[in-house]
Amino acid sequence: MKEQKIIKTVISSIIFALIAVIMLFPFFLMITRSLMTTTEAIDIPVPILPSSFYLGSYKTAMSNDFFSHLGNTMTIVICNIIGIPLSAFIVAYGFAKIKFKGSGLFFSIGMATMMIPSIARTVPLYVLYTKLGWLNTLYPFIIPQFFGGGMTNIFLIYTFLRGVPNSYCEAARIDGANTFQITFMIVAPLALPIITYVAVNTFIGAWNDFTGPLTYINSMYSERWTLAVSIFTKYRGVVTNREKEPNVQMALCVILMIPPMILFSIFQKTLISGVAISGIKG
Amino acid sequence: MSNFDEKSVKKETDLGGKIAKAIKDNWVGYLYISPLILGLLIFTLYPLLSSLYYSFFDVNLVTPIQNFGLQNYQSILFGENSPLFWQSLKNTAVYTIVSIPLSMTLSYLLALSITKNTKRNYALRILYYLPVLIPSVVVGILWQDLLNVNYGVINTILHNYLGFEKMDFMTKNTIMPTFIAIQLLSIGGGMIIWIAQFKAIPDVYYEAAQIDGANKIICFFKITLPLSTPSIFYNLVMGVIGGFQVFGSAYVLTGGTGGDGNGLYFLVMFIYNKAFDEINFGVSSAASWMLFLIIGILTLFSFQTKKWVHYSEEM
Repeated sequence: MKEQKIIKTVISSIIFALIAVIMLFPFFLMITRSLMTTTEAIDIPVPILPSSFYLGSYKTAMSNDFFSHLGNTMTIVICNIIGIPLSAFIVAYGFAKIKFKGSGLFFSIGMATMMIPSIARTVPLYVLYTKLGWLNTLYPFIIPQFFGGGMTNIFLIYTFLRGVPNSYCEAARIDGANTFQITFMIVAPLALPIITYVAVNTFIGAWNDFTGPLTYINSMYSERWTLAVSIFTKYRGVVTNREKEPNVQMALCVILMIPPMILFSIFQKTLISGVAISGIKG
Repeated sequence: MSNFDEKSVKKETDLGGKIAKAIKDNWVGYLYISPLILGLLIFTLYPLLSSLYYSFFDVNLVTPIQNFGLQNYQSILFGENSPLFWQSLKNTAVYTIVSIPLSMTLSYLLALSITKNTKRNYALRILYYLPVLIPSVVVGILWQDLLNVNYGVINTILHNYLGFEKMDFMTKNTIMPTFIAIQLLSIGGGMIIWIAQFKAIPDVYYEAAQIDGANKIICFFKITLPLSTPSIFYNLVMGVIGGFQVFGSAYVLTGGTGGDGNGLYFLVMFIYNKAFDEINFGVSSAASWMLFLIIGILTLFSFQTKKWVHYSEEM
């Protein structure tokens, strides 16, 4: 009997390990290929491991407009992680903790907007931004973020806040606090886990956002792009294998993935439990 | 005379009083949600209505808006743009119908097998979640590189190490299965959600069942599965809504073209390219509203057929 159990454990461990290998293999290849020279990377048959720890691809990757792209990306990201968690928290607090007529109505309207495909808004927003003079600037990625940050985030914080006992707020009110004080000095600290989750998620989303800057920033202003877009456009339409510089591409990809990876390793627990909360309904 | 005067005066005071009271009671709430309301008006409602408006006209950025009529809808349903439109719709539908249930099932099964809180499972969960963090740009560029017919690593392994023929993964017929397979690497995301759902089921149910002599399979079908149906429903609906909007990684993978024979041309790509490649905002807007309609119908349909969802209050 004991042998059967050991065999079962070994087989299942092998299977799980295999799954992990399959899932992470592309990752691994991305890194190894970023350490090759261009000649190596387009060799046929292509090697799986680089011949040496070549960092030239990274050097090439960080040339030209890299640092202005990085700066743009940082600007957008910082504004996002301030605007979205802040406004989402405020709106969610309004729905969750304040009784007012029409709150149910507006909440339902908000929830219904989750169904609207974002592409449907892209074209008219393009026209709107043209009229506002926001095209080819970073404003489309900064200003709208202070208006609630999307119903998904609001709903998430709302669900969390519903779990915060009203007795805290009532006790504070008896002590003479007004609503704003209660919101920011009592409830906000309690909501730190979910706000952190929203902030980290927002960071990753804004850092990786690619269709937005691609749409609203014309290629004539390529120095205003973000990193994510520059990776795509740099090699678009390139024909020969050598020009494709797969090693530099991979190096750019690795660089792009570093901040989200760092954030993930720091905020792992919060992230995973936040994903869990967002998915359990009913 | 005086009665009449008194009554009408009282009515006016009451109404004024009512409004004042309504504002006094509710203004704080509205202040709190004002960012959302403003944001919805400016960045959602106005664009949505503009888009509807554009869909009935010829809109490019050069000539003034003209020609009110159904020409855009006609064009995408029957006319000039219809082959590409219907193909986009078909690709999107195939992708959603195949990939969403498949990835949900796989992630659910994976979650089931590593729910227990062992050290090994903690590590596995993180490993399986990592692919979810890869941005769509990187997915597109990475796989474009790996699947290259000549110098792609996958083909090298297949051909040089395993002795198979080199495969072209990006032909008209192979690209959709390839794309779906790529997306399956991210089932770690769903897995985390299911694990949390399983943990939310009180142990007492399982203990009671075990006392009654139930084995693991019965426990699953009678306890775990029914109690996860609210999550299954929510994630299925969100999954379908998301599936119909698939765009980013496909766009990058095919360099914006939709691939050989338009095998990966999705609805959102149609909408996007019509607007920003062809500068035909009218057709693009018409197609957006078709997409919106489809998503709306599907969502409503799923809410109507919700009977299989168990809510624990009814247990």
